[in-house]
Amino acid sequence: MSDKNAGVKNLIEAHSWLGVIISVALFIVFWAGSVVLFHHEIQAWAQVPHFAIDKDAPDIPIENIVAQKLEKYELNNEEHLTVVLADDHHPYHQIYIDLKPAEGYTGPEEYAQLLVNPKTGETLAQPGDFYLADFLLHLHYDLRLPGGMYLVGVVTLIFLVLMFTGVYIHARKLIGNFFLYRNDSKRNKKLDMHNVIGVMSLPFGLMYAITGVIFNISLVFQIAFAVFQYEGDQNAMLKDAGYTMVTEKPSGNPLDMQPAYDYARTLGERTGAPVMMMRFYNYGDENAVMQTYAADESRFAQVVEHYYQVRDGSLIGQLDSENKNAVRSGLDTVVALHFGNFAGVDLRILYLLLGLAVAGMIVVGNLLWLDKRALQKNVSPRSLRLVANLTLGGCAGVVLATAGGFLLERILPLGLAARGDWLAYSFGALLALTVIAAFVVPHKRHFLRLTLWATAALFVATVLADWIMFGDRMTEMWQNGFHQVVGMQTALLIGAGVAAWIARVLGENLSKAEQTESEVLPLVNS
Amino acid sequence: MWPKSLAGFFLGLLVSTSLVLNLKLLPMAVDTRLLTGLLLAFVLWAAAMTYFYYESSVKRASLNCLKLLAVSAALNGVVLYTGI
Repeated sequence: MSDKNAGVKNLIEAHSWLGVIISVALFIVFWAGSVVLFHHEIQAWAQVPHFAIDKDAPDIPIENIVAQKLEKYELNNEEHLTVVLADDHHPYHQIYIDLKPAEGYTGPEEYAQLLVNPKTGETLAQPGDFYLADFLLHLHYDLRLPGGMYLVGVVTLIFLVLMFTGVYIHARKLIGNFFLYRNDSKRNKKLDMHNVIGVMSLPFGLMYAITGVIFNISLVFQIAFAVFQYEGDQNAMLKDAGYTMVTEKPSGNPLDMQPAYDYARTLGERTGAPVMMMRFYNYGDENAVMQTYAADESRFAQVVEHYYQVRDGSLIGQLDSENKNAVRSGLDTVVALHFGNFAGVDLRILYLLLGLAVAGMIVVGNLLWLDKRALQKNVSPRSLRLVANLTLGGCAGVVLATAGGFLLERILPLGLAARGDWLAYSFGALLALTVIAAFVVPHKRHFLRLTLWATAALFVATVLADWIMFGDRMTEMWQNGFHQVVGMQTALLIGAGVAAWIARVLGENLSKAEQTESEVLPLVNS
Repeated sequence: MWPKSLAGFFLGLLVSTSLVLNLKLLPMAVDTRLLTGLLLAFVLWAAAMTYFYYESSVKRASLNCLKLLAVSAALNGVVLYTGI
């Protein structure tokens, strides 16, 4: 065998081995990432029905609301005060106040998080009470595990290696076999499906892999750059990378913060990019600095970020279309590409379809590995069972748990203590139960059908709960422009329809499938 | 497969880090260099890992990788001591 052929054979081995090892984690990352592309919509769907808002009423000035909240919560002005302003997509302010620790307190920093009605100044809830969207985001980037961010980073790096090995394996046939889809055998069908999705989604996959590793493990190279090029001075490196560091601490001399609010207001009017977020350092002190953040919608991935020194009105940091930094522009581009937020909902629907296709490709990859190994004599039946059951339990489980998460987000009482934790633990419990059941239940295809029917039922139950709880307000919400509620309901019903359709197809082919299963996975059910 | 994976992961990290540190030799603005380094580093890392899987012998892959690392590290030394 020539070196090149041996090399390709080695890459095929490595491709399937690596794929199986990271498959479940990668499936969860892609599934959660695809759903959380609609983070704002999920958040609005969860919150808006609970709190009626009169869109025509004037807003209370944000400085008055902040002053009112600071009377109740004692700010630790050595830390931050952050205000995320209400907009058309999310009608409530979010205020995060780092709290002054009690004397002798040594635990983690405490902060108040408030969801505030901009028309009345009333605190409605804690943003963390509506945890589903943020939970799915966490699941996407750290699997909600300690150290999960680095784990997902390594998984994403291996995903990049999988794409490199896949392209090299198919390099000679990449164009010639572009439209190849054989129908002659089940294995060829799966292989062609895996390859077609892999090739079609290659640019998308490459973009996700590279942007994903940058988000999760760029720290490795940041350290190398700081040590070798900046003699360990990380602040100097961050300054070159376009980040403004506020290093001054409070002096103890009070300062009126009104000029900062006035500046934020005029900044939006001047640039045409309304301020979305204000973060204050040393609030109410002579050394106070306000960071403003806005998105310039007239340009691709252009952020407008100013650091305003309140005492003299000077800017200590500025990032916009006229004051650019390659690193920040590059990273803003990375963010825009990764989240698909540089265009309308239609682009994110395309992202969703591609993301789900890649998730499907991952499952098919595992089935191909199982098919191949089942035909080999020296393969341990235990390892085959492990891979088959983990694939089934992990992938079906995370889909089912997501459906459960939607229902819980809707029906859990708003005043429930640690509402967000209840949602997260229920999600984990449902996922764990599905994985355990996958190991225990002997009829895998029946079990898969059952999880799909249960997923469909949970999605439908969520929409029903929406209408039972808030049916009388649906028209009002639609007329007020909060289309996210009906939009999410439509998406949930489509999801239910797809899950039910797959379950039905599986059921129709059950006798045939069971016969094939005994050929393909003879050890899985034993 | 595990020896290939471990060797590819760690040697790949070293080689990619060392190579991107040599970008300082190119006439680029500092922010452009940092961004290029960050983007290139991961691609080089994954490429090095792919090379380890391509080779039949982990010893041969490591040796070739170490040769590249030696050249690149020598350039790193030049960059570091001359302060280019």
